[in-house]
Amino acid sequence: MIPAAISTRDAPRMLSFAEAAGKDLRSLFRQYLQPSEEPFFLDIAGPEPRMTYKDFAEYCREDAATWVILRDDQLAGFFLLFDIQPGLELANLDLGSFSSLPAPNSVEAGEWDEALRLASRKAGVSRLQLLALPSQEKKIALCESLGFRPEGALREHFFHRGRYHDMVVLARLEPQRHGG
Amino acid sequence: MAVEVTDNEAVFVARRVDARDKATLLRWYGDPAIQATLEDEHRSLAQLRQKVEDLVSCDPYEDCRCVILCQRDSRPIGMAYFMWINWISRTAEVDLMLSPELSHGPLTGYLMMVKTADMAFREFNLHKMYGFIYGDNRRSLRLFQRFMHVEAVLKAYAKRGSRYEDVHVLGALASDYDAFCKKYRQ
Repeated sequence: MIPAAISTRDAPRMLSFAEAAGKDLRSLFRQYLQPSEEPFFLDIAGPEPRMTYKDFAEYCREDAATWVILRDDQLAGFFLLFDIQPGLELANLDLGSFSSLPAPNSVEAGEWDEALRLASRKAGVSRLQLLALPSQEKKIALCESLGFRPEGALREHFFHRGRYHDMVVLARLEPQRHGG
Repeated sequence: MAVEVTDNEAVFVARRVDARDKATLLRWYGDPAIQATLEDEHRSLAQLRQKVEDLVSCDPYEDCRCVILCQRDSRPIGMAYFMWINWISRTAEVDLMLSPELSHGPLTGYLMMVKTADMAFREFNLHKMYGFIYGDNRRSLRLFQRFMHVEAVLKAYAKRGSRYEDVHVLGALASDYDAFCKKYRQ
């Protein structure tokens, strides 16, 4: 039986990961509405017009497996698996932190790793793929430390804040997919 | 909405599919070679009928999808399926299918690609079109690479029996197409 949430009580501050509940989605939505230099979600199909709460909650509940990251019971970040394709055993991943992302190879990064593995097992996926803007250096560095490998860059693929951005493609494969 | 191109002998037309094309699309999608190439999973006849109904009725502005049928001298030779049209980024994914009922030389695929790019950049005013091609589909890879750049290779993306196949992501910008047209004119 796979647990729905994990927590790390040995860390200096208690960090926990849980599948998002209703109150978490409302907190996430408030963060989503904050103006930001970086888009909240990155999808190869491009940006969505601003979602209402109804659309946001529907997306997080029905189109994705959404996990929240809590630090001392306060919302600290999120990750979600979306476009889960059971036949291909793969999903897209997006993640964000509302303070700073864990440093690569840190204890906290290890906890993210554990949570991602749990979410992947629950979703039945052995390939996680992620997109990042080239300017999101910390996100890319964290993901590379979690075993994601660059697979290319999509030219002028995402329009955000008045200009086109390339998108870096990264993926993490479970061992059974290697050598395919 | 139709784009017409002529060579010395034949007239090529691209237009939106409609109800008259259902039987043609059903035959094409039911072809085993097409299914193996385009679909991630096997589809039953009922699923194919549903898919064709959906393709014929989809709208680029309502559904962000659109199917274009290419004809040579009024005979269907292939289709281009625009998906995930994003009107903010002005990007779209495109699938091409050549009729499995005809034998095609390299010119047919080439003309299909030109007409698809023409539709994308001259009609829809897109900024970019992109496609996903399985690594073992060498013919399509060669065709797409004449117009598009390989931008990413998704490792072990698709299951092929007991092994995994890479998928190539190829993209062309409107500026690439402009450069192609300029070179062609010269």
